[in-house]
Amino acid sequence: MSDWLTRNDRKSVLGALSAVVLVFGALRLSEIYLKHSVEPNSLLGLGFLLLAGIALGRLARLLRLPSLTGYLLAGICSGPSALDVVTFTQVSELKLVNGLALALIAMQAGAEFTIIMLKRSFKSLFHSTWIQTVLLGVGLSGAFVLGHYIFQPGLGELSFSLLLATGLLFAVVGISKSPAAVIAELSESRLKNKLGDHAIGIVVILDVIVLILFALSLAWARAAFDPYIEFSLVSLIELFSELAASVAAGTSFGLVAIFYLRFVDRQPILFILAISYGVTAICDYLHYETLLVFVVAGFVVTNFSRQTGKLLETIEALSAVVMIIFFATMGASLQVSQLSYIWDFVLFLVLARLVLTWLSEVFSAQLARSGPSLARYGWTPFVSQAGLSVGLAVIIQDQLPGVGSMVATLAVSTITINQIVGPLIFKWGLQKAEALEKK
Amino acid sequence: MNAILILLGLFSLTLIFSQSSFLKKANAFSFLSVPLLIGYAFSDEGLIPFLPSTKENLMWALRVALLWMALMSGVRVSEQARKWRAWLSLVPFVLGYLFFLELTIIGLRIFGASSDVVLSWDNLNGYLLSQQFSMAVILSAAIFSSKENPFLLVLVAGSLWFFHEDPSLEFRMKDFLSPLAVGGILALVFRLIAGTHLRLELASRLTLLGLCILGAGWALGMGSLEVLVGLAFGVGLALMINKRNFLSDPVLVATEVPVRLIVSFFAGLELSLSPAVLQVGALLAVARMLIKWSLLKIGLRSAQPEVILSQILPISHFALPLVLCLHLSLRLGNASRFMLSVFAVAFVVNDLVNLAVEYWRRELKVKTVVAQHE
Repeated sequence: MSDWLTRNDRKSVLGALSAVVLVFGALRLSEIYLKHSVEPNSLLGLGFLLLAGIALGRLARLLRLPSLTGYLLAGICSGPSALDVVTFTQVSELKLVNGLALALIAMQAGAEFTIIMLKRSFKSLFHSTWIQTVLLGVGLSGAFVLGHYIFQPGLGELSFSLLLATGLLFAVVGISKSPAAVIAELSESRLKNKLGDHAIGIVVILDVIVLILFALSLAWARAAFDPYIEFSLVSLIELFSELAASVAAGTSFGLVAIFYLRFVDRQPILFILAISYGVTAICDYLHYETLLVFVVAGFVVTNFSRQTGKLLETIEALSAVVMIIFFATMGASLQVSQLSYIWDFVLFLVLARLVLTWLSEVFSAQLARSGPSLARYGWTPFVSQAGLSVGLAVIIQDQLPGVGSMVATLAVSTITINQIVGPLIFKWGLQKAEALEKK
Repeated sequence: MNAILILLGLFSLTLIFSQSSFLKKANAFSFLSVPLLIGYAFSDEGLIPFLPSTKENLMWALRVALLWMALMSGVRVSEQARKWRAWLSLVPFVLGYLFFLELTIIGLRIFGASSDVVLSWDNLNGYLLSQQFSMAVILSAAIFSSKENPFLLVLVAGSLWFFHEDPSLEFRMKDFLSPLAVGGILALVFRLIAGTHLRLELASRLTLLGLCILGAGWALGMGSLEVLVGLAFGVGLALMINKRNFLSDPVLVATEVPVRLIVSFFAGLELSLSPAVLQVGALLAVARMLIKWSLLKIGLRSAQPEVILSQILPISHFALPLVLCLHLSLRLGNASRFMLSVFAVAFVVNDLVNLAVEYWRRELKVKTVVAQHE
């Protein structure tokens, strides 16, 4: 027997998997034999996702894969693409949990982001950010245009300028990363090394940059497609004012959190839950950038108080359940069936993004003279894509009638693949980087 | 989102109140009357009625809470059912209860005459007789109940059985057996995932939470009672895992008070008070107190004051979720709302009397201590 497959581990995984099969079997049997159909509802979906997430998360750990790969698979298996226990309607009803998950992830990212770390890795963060933005922006736009001529994905007859505008929008979605996947993997592996610090810094900075670039490229694309719309920078000014207000709001909430954790210090889980939902509601109402608000709040707590330990401990206690639901819901919402129609173009775009990410990290490591761990494995955290990318794809679908839905389908399909393979690559990279740094 | 904020606000309030030193030391006063009355203030008859959409958005939390309370009761009952003394102590309880049932039926007929619901009860025919009797049994059992005991559950099971005779209620035998089977499956699933660990760990608690959500969703999907699923789940768990570790787990125990208070608040939202409801509820509470007092004088003379205060005088924690769940899931309309409202009034009156008893006892204790010093 190999050392990684102990008897207890196998027993625990077998028990969990048979439990899921038992529940699924009972649900189906009651429909077939007892004629007692169970009406689908969000509670049933949520419970099943949680159960399947626990089981497949254990299986993933046993196979030395990241737990979140297991959670995603649990979502895909339970969702409309496979067992159909969880429907798309239920997935949209579970978005409430996603708000909480994103808040926790962002706060944790901010709390891990210290001024000392920022100073120490400023060079690598700076070079990596601009090179990734330029290289992925230009390269992915080019790949999109090239792929359109090779694979003919059904965008119709488009002039070169329209195609370029569409390609640029797709490229901006491609630049965005998944802070959730990075944070979840770092929390699970509990490894603290240069690659981890670098990854947190980049995913947070790039998410803010992507928002600005997206506003710009969307304004350009809309003006290109609709002759009655003029390209204006008003939306960009609005975006900047929203970002500034988000930073101010994040600072305020960070100070409130410091005050509570320092002077009240009771029921921190309840406090974090309340502040997460409350602030998300306020951000929705005022059109603030929720992710940025929570990153700043976490950053303020970590850098201007001694309450980081309490904050991170509380977030981790909540994360256990929230992460399973978040990633399993995401898995259930992935439209895997769409891949069968445009798989060749999607694969081309995924490979292009992978190569461009690798190249940009190689260049930035050379410019910043980063250590060997970043030079070799610096690209591995940036393959995953998640919530923000899907959100941007939905906006493209809404704002660009006609080609929008096809671009969104392409974006969601590439995100699906990146989200499945990304955590695996990051886990591998993190372990390799750790081994290299120890040497 | 508003619903979530309301729920979190409620949790915060309940936690703040549950920290009060008086409440921690109080044995007889359950404090559940306060959220019940606050809930009534937000009901359709109250000062600031909740929007139906807000209520609907909060329902998922209530359903999980109902199942959770039933689960804890199920495990506790199984623990008690093992002790032959518990069964023996039921003899005077059953005798007292039969008398109380008779009083309930008479009270409903006399004082509830002005209520439409009770008036319709007089038009007895065929299966309706058993249905109304069953409701009287549930109401009287809920009010007469003390700490969780097997007797209450037997009564509930027995009285639910009568419902299957009425086709309009759509509660038939399979509706009774299916939730029990689901509860059993959930217990087996927990056993498969969590094993028979000596202590509950984070993973086990997470599994339990997932199963509670699944069970509530399953009951909702079947149009069945969450409390039945929860009870069967609890009894099944008690058979498969270490009950004592389960019941002494600090995290699980810490969730009980807030969940109880939340359920009471929701029960308050559903109340509809009328003179008939107030009369019947108050009289049943007084009758309960008198019968219990008589039973204590006759049969339980040796009982410790703490046992009397904490175990016998307060109404069972499981009674309110049971009546609320019957109202929400069986959709009996006015009849179940009437039953819930009568129960709520009896509950509040009982709590107030217990509060007085508690104060009186403490005053007496202080006086005794002062006298001893002097």
